[in-house]
Amino acid sequence: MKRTRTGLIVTVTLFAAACGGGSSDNPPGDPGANWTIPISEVRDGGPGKDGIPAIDFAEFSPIDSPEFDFLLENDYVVGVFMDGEYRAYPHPILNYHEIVNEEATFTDFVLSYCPLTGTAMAWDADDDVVNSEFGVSGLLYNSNLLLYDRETGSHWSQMLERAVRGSRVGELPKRIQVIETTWETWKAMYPDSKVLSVETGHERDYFAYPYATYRWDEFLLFPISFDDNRMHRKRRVIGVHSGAFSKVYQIDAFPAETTTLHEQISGAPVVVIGNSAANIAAIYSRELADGTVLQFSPVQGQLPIAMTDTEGNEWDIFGMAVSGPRAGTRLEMTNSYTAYWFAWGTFYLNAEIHYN
Amino acid sequence: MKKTIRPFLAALLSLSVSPAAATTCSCANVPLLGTMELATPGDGKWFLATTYEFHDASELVSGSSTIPDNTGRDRTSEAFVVEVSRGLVGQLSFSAMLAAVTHQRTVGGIRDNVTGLGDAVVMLKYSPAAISLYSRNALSFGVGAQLPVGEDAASSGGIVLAEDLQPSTGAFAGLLWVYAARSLNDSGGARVYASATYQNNGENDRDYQFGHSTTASIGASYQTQTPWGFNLELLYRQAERDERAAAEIPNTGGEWLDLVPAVQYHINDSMALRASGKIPLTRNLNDQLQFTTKYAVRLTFSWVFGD
Repeated sequence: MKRTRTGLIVTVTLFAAACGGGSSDNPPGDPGANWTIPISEVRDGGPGKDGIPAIDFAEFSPIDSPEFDFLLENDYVVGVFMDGEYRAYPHPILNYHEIVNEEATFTDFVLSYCPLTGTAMAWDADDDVVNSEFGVSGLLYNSNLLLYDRETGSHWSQMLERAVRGSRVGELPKRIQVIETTWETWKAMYPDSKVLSVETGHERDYFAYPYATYRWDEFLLFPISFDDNRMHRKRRVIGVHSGAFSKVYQIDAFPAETTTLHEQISGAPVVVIGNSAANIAAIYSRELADGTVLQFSPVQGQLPIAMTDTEGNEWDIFGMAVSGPRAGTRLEMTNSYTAYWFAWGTFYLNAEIHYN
Repeated sequence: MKKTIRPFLAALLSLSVSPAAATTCSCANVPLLGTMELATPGDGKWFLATTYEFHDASELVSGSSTIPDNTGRDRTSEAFVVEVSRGLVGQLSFSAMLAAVTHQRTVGGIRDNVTGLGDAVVMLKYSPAAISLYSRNALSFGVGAQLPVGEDAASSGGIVLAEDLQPSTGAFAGLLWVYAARSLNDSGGARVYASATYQNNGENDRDYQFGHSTTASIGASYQTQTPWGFNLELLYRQAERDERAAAEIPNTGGEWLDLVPAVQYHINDSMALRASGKIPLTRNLNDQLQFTTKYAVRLTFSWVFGD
């Protein structure tokens, strides 16, 4: 550490400068303070930049490794299918790191998870827009993680999914589909998958949840710009947005069997898949690249296979046709993800709520 | 004169590690070692003290265990404190304190630095017993308030910094203090003492409230026949979790037990220098991760004057 003041000289300096004020060393390449979100709503979370350490050298272990004995069946994991491989990232590990800079076999991507808003995202880190590793900025916007990219120092809002400060302002990352579900469901769906190891390079008690009762209580740790009280703040929802319109589905309000809903979001046909017993949900476009609009029916008891269509294809929870004439085709992703209700409600005002 | 002033000054300085000080500067869950001497000068006397304190709060603790932190983080605070105490009529005295504080947070080479006025403290003290020719016991009570006169909305790059980086808490607080001592010899140069403080914190403009805290200490001081004197104290502190809008903030509050050794040198009959340190012995902190005291050092110059 570089200390700029010592001894009695400090005391003089302190009083001389006692009008108050702060300063910060800018990271290399930081382009300045051109925020596109209200700066008054950006909060210092406390740990400081990189005070929550991202995982840069992720290691993976087989799903049946004893190191995962600490995971409870109802702990959540974030699942990714990338380059032919399924990988799971347990929330109990992500709670302490929030970002994993990942190198899959062919594709680099960054996976982020905000414990305060319950949101997980994966962005392609190999494309022209992102092309960088990320770190935890230590700042929050509406209680949600602001990442920074190590290439330009630009800040990115996780839930807005775009850069909000710096030279990359306004740029949108290429999203990668993630699925959030319980450890129990993931193990049953993908017993051969790999799981993010606790060998993160950091010594943390991953068994212990670091935010006390935050997951289920009614309290927030940081102010938000709008508090939509139509549901409990920590209700887990999957939301989808398009333009100014958004709609959410309560995950625990889905039937205890796999359900498919055919919806129109800003005129676009989507299918909502949900299963409260498996604690899983996903939303995909029903329209294929050739213009075909599919009609789905749920498949029971075969997760990860979630639905079939009128052409005889079977589709898994990642939106992949695993059998049938369109085998290998993927449904187009939507702007959808899982979040605590309060977070969705403050980012997407007047969201429509689906009631079963 | 020499024989009377020196024990008196020693007595004042023996109070200078009072845990009440822990409440007076904004440092969130990593309070400064001490900022108020809590001296109780006699009728018509003045007591002036200036203190510099350096506090390293870079220790990452989970519960009661120190855990390695690979983030290259440094969290330090410095404070310059001026305190004036005045003996009033009878057994009453009054103290006022003002601090200037610098907080610094460095993580991975990125540094946030904040300097500003901290909180002020005023306290009215009543001392029904004092060590003297006729008594080996001392007893004092105090009631006071913390006044948010300082900077509590310091920002960096336009973003208001976290509460624990603000020089001032931005909130009023009530203080209760009690001190008792017993002389072990006729001169009063050797004594044992105990003190306790309770601080009830209010909420600041951002709905943030630092956790109410209780501190207690026991210690012993010895003034040699030379200008040197020594003090050793055990300091216990318990703090509740901080709150924002009535929601408890995880990873704040807990219990700390520290050892506070001190040495003092009397420049003359009325002036003294004192150096002290704070060494964590054990702690049991709430939740999973807290940065807390690694060590703290303090240097105080004090001057007693007046009739």
